[in-house]
Amino acid sequence: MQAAVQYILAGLAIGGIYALVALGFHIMWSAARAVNFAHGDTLMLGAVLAIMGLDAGLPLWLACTLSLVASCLFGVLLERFAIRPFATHAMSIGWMLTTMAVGIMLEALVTMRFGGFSRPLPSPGIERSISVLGAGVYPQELLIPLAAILSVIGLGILRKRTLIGRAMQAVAFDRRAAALMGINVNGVVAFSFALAATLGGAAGILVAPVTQASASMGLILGLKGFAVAIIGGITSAPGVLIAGLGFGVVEKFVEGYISTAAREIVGFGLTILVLLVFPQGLLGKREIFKV
Amino acid sequence: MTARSTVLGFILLAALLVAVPLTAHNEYELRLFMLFLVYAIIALGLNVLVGLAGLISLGQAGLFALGAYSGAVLATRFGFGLVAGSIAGIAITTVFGVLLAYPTVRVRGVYLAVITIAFGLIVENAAIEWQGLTGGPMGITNIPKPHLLGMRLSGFAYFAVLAVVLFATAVGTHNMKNSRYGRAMLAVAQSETAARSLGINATAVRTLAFAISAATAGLAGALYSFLNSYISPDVFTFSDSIRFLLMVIFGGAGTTTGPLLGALLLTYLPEYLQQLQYWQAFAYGFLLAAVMFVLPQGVFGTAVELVRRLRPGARTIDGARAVELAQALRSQSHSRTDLGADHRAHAGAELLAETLTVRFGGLIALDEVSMQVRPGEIHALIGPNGSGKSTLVNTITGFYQPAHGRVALDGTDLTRASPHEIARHGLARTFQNTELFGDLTVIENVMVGYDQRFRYGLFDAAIRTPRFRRGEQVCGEVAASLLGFLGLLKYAHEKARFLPFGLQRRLEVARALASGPRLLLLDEPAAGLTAKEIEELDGMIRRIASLGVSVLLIEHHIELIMAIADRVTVLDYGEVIASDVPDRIQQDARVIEAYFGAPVTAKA
Amino acid sequence: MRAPPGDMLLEVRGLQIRYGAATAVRGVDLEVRRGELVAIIGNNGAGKTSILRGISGLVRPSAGEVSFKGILTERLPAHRKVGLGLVMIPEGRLIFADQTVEDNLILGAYCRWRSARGEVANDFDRVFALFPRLKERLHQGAGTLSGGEQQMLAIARGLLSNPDLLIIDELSLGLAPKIVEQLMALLHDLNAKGLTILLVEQLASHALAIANRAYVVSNGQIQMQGTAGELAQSPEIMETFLGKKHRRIM
Repeated sequence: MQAAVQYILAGLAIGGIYALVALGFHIMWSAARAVNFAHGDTLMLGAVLAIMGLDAGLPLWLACTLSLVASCLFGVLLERFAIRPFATHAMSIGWMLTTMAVGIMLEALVTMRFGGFSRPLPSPGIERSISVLGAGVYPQELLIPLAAILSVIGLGILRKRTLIGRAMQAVAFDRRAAALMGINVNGVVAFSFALAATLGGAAGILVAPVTQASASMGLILGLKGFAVAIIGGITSAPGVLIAGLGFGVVEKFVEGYISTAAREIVGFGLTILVLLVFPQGLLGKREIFKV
Repeated sequence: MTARSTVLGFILLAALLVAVPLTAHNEYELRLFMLFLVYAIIALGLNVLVGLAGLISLGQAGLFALGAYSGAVLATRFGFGLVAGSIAGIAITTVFGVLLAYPTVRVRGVYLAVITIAFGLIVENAAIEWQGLTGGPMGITNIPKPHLLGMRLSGFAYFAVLAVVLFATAVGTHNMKNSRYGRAMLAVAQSETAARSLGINATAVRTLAFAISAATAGLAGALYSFLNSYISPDVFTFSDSIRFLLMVIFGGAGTTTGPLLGALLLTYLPEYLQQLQYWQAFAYGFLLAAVMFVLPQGVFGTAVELVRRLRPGARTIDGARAVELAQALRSQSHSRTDLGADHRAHAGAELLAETLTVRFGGLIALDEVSMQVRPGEIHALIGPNGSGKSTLVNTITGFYQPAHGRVALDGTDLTRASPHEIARHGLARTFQNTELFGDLTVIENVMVGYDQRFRYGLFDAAIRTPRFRRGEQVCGEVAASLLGFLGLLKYAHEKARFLPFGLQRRLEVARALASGPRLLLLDEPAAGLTAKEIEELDGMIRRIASLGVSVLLIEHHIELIMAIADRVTVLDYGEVIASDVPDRIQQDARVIEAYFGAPVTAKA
Repeated sequence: MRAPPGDMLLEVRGLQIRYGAATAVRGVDLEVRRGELVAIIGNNGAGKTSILRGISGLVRPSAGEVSFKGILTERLPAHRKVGLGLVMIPEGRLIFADQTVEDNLILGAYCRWRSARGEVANDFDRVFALFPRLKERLHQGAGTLSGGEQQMLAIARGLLSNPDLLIIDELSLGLAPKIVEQLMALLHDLNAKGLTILLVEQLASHALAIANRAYVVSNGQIQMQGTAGELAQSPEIMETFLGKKHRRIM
């Protein structure tokens, strides 16, 4: 029983990260029908640069702020130069390969600078573990799913109550109509990607104390985050939240009772299954393509 | 590529394959080249999927692994030899290849790529997990040396086997590329809609591409396990899948030399970067970025393009040949170049649409629409914007399903048929927004139109049997004669997308006629044409009708319709409001109101 | 009676629009003066909508000049033109069906919230006075409105952008005849109160009933132009729609 609670709590923690990554994909996809396939690297940058900042003697808050700025910039630049020129029509996937290429190069460069091993980011959230229903857990781990839930709520408020949020929804719905309202579509898209990247950087900072930061953490987190977005429905924010948390919990159970390799098999197997049966995801909208 | 340069290329390849073992300094160098041979087989197969069918796969390492483990397990546990192990490897991976093709029916673009990534990761992890079968992370270590016909294959002998297999794969895939199969794959990649409307089963074509890429990966895998005597999961990672894709696209997707070049480069590059471990990873990213941003056609593809620009070769069909073909066309006795010989007995097909109703959600797009195109007539379909013309066209051609009602061609019910089935029953169409195969040449576009009339199979194509040669020759003649009929002979070897607009429209018609239809549906053929071009269109439609093809014409240009239509059907708000000869339509009060609006007193 | 037209608001010279290899608009000249209601009519596929796309900036013209309030705008992206006062209501209305009526209206005034908040509030009141039904359905999803109501929403949204020139593309598409008449009368009213309107319309008789002047487009070029009265009387106009040898009905 205690093991089950442990798995659930740990699962919610990693699931929260998946949800945050998937939320980033949701925001990008809504804006541009294309995503930064190196989005996982925004987490890596957030975590790794924060640690490097601490190494350089900066206070924690400053190191984190600077790493968030770097993640944000990464997302914006990638959108402008690696995605926009390659997302010319609905079925093009050039952007997938270009962003993947940049991600691979970035990872290699960071590995050379940061080293190939992982290091933790110190945080008050992991100083002492607390007990929940008999299972030991760090407050930081509970913070992560909370952050994911708050992010989804925040995004909803942004979209329904603010002008820029409404503009984002308009751009997602129909770019031409949005332009005719006077909305600078490219500007809104850039903003969306900045938001997604910052969210990614924050997720990296949140998870680094728990699972440690390394130059290669971005790839697999990005892949799984995208899988979660597919399962939940990349057009639905609540969908990716639920899918993310669920995916994390399922992962922990499979990993605990069988093995790490089995965890990957189940996770990716589920992704393929959902794509075949519900191509739009569990809570997503069907996207119609005209002949 | 001309026939001469192709033969030269293959001679060079053969020469290279013979020269290397003679000049290798040690066992290590030989083994490295043998590794290249294995990778080249994968690359050639992946090229069919990526370069021809236009589908990105990032899971090729998974298929490679399946082949390798199949060979290894069967050899170590059941004593299978090289040949049996290879065949088993091919069979197992081909099954998975076909399975991977299934998703293309439901998802496209990035989702399909994600499925291949997921597949690759599943295989890699299954290899780690299923210890009992695969030896887990340690892998399988005691794969016996390969034997062939009782003879043990040492270094040079196994090299010979690999070299022969590679050469055969290169020849086979190259021949397939230059056959109806290669053209069909390119067509489906460039315009699936047009390909389907010409009778090509897009799903079958994609499945074939996946199957070929899987089979080659499986074969390479089995050969690899016998080469290495040891396999483990860390040879088949996502990074390797990226590497295989890079071999194809950096070398030059769609060509035969490209993947070979890419495989060569990416086999030797890691060797040189062994010390600079992290730079190796960087290099993959850099090469991928280089292809995407700078060299989309790869190294070899770009080189070919440059040569083509510098030496504009024959773009037309030889003058004497053109005269020959035009004469053959006019002569009634030469049945092979007849434009659709099958239907000379009849006077075109009859198309019947009965009470068709189509709904999109709550919106009724077509309301009990009935229409008849009589055999051999030129029938026009007109109506204001939003009246349902496109919906009716797409329902007749099988892209939409009606809620109820019936479509029949010469009595055959086609209501539930798919677009490619309808095309095979003799209905061809052109499109409002020209759907040409832009990167194929003008004559290749028309040859794709002929696809449903071929009689040869994949094996014939792979080894170029006499049946294949005959089929291709007839196809070429029909295509050339159609180009002559429509005045496009001088552009025969030009890429379709470089054609001026009016000629692009004509090419679409030529392509549709190549399928030998009994009814031709022209969707706004006059759109965007100048007045002179519309006059030429008038003549062209009449000539087509005189060949015995019924014509259904969707148009806005009233003058054109009045001049050539035998009868006109008018749609408005999804209903038929009139169906009669042009003169009477012109004066029908309901038609006037639909187009012009009811008379309104001026407020100004 | 209408006031005489004022200064030149929109001047288009030699407009050419291409989609890939196809030329949809081949050298069109037209002008709209302040206070006018100008119509562009013609058969389908003639290029009317393409002309508007070129003027509004949704498509970059391959040649020609589009001069608005004296400023050359053919290279400007669509969203910048809204700020200048050039507002278009597109074909098919394109309202944001996944947001509420209120959201749509708020987005209509997107450019003005920071600079003219007070005026926007007044404009909201005026729009509600014109279209009381929109006020009733303010918090409903815009996708649940009927076709006619959606067109009203599109017009209201356009008005909230504070246009100097309001361009409307195919108002009548998909709408019942009665609603079309109501909306045409509304446009006529708005024009009488001073709003300059450029209208592309499939149903020529409606357009000519309310317009000052009209252009008849065929095959990407201007075939005829003149006052609405002249055109309504001319025998040639029927021919561009229904071909020669037609008996005049009007």
